[in-house]
Amino acid sequence: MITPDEIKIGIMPGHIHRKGRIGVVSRSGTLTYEAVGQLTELGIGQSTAVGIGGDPVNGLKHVDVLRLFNDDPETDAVIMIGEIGGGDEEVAAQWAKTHMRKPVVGFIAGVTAPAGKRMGHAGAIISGGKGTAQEKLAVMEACGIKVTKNPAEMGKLLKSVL
Amino acid sequence: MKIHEYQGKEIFRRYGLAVPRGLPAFSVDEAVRAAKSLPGPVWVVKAQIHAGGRGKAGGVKLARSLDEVRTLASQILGMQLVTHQTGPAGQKVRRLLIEDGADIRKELYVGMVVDRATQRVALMASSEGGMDIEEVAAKTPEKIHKVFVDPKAGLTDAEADDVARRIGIPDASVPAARAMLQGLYNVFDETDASLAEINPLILTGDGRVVALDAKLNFDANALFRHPEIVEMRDLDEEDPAEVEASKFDLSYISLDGNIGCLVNGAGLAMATMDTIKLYGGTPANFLDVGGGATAEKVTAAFKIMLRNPKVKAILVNIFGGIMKCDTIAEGVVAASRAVGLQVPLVVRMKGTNEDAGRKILAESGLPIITAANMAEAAEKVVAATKGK
Repeated sequence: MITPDEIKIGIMPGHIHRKGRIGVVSRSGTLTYEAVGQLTELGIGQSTAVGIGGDPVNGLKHVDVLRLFNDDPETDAVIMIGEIGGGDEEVAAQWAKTHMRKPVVGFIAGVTAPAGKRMGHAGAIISGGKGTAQEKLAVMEACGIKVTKNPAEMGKLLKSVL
Repeated sequence: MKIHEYQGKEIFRRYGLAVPRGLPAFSVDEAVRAAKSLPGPVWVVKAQIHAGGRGKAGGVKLARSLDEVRTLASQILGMQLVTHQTGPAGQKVRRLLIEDGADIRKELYVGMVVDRATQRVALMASSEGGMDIEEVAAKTPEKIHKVFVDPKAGLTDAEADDVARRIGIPDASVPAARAMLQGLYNVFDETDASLAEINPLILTGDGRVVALDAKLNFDANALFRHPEIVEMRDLDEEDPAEVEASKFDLSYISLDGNIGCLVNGAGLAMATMDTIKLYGGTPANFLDVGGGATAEKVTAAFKIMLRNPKVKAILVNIFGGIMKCDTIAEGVVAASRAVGLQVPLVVRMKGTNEDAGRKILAESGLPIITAANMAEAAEKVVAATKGK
């Protein structure tokens, strides 16, 4: 995780970050850089970016980080990045629907991922038809989270809700 | 990592789980020899492939004489078994398991997985054995009983007995079922399994509880502490490109399209595939080079991608963190020269030392197409496959 100009725990390139008021939460390291890089290029800074990891059993889940951002006076809006496998994004979206007071936008990686194959991360697997990107995107949209299918436009989408 | 049923049963035996007597066989003669060492008068000839659904596909047969064992073994060995899990091409049968016939009174189901929601090992059991459990879950979910095992306590006697009764084990056989369930939990826990399944688990005429099948998958990230399990790996059951990639510590998955992708990070690699699709192309593979890509690794990755004759262009998408863009640029240049690259190459590079990386690409004299962002990279690589 990184709070620009304050603390960095991890291996992300510090120079792409810029202090600001957007929270980022993601299961993927380099995809977090991607979102942060886009925000910075648009002149939008970040309050904190949190990588929760690609494992099926992890310490923090999307919903835990959304809660923290919701309560954080330094954060105005959130980019939530997920990927295939499990149902944590759906849980977070359902929670956000009733509790989140700040706009959330999202992207889910793996629309093109085949079922039953572990895509690099231990937790990135569609098993028994569950955990597809399409399913997650649908639940997020139904819960009022704006989503994009183009990872090159995560920053732009966030800007549109400010 | 997956293993064969007979290997799963070897592990079960080591943990004291009741399984039928049986021996693996790699040839028809070996199959007959195996059958001779068993008492008969009924033997089961079972195709050993990693996919499920072997019985329905004709890969499991009953033999009532040694002659019949020979006939069935010669039929099944070498056949291309097509099950609902193999895909239409099927999987060639190279190994058999010859087993004692069993006196089946009841067929049950028991399985274990890591449950993501509760972050515990979930035991699932059902009275509906021998069927596709996903079908049972969809049609009659009330017939599936679950226990989320407390990792500190393990599967307790009370939990095991309760599940056993719920799936129809008679009182006299509850202790045997308890031993089976607790034994399976020990296997799952101690071998770092990601899936353990017995379908069917049977109750025999004389009240014993026996694992008629054994399906075990292991967490690939924990294999370093189980060399005895790694030895069970059967490369014939895996995609050759994926096997080759694993030698170089590359995470690679073959897909159907024509654009080779080389990306750092699993999430970004998936997102890159998605972007290619969005711009009208199709990815030929998933490839995460990981955090420490050297020129050697990138060259190996290029060779693996280019072995696929469908590949018409390559997209390299790197967002450097600990991975420095100048290092990967040197790798890309060296790899392009080493393989004598004939297809268009699009490179998008950002992050640590991106300027130095771009300079290396520009000064290489190679016809590398560069892109400032993911969308532009996808657009350019798709155009390149269409000869634009």
